[in-house]
Amino acid sequence: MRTYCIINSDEVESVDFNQVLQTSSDTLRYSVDGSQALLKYEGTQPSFLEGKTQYTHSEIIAILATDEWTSDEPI
Amino acid sequence: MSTITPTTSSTRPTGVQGRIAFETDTKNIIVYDGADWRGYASDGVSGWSGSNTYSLNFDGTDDRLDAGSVVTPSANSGTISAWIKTTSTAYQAIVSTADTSGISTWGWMAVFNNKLRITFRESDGTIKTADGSTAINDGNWHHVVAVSSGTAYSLYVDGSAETLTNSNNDGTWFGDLTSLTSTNIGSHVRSSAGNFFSGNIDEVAVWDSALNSSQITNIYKGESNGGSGGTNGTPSNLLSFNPKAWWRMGDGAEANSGTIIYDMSTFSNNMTMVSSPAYQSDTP
Repeated sequence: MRTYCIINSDEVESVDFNQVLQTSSDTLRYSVDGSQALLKYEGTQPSFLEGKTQYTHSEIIAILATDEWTSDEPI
Repeated sequence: MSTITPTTSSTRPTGVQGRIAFETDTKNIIVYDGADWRGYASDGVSGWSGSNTYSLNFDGTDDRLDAGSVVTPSANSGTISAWIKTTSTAYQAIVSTADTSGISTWGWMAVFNNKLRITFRESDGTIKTADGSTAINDGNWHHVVAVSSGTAYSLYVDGSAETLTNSNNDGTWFGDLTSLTSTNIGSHVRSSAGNFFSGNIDEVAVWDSALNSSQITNIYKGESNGGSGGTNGTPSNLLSFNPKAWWRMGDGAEANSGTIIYDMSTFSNNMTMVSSPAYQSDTP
């Protein structure tokens, strides 16, 4: 089961990418204004994410569909 | 007893005319013709093991595959084929090629408004689009195909041509665009990645020519090129159709392990996982 967290972008440098499913800061998904980043992990919550709100898949999908995370670029 | 030099698709030896090598990652034999390497596909033992066991699951948040280059960049006509399974109502990418440094040009096959879409954007901002008519986000596997004849798009779902809703449908394809930088599966990547696919994708293939309706029907039925048999909804070996890329999503040389999805055509357009697409034993 995957668990999702949102962190502030200035916290990305403290992420241990060995403990999350993403591999680098370059390929993280950021909010439209760049102020937040998405992390996800399986199993035990990484210590550096303690205190952060944890989201299920359906919860994070709803969040990511908002204007805060999905830009309205021409398509 | 002589042996053929082993190599990999990323570490090919210096080309000397007539030199032969064996790529351990793609299982293909390659021959240097004096100007370029020519590939000869394996006999199907690796490219097609006799079954389709795995697909890749994309969680719709940030999972994708990135080729790191443009697949069929010069094609003025072409075909994209994939099997998908989704329940999402989002505007989501299946296969996309774009200028990843910005939003100037792109071409992508997507699920839009729950239906299949092909859309291209030229550098002057003109957008060319064809939308299908069949809802494909019902949680079942569907075979989806987008074709450009060079002058018009056509779309197919489960072997049948779609009734189209068009906007500037003139068949614009990748060779008509400038500044393209990379091909992705499961996301439309412009200045940043977006339009993430939520669900499963399997057996994706690309051609630099327009397949005809009989060929598309045969792919849907798991029949070889030119054959007359097969069973609806059954992916099979695509090598007889000579694809320019064929990603088997777990059943290729990756053998449902690792972060590289190998191109099982002869062209080595391997894809790299970004974030965490997952192998699943869920197939059409």
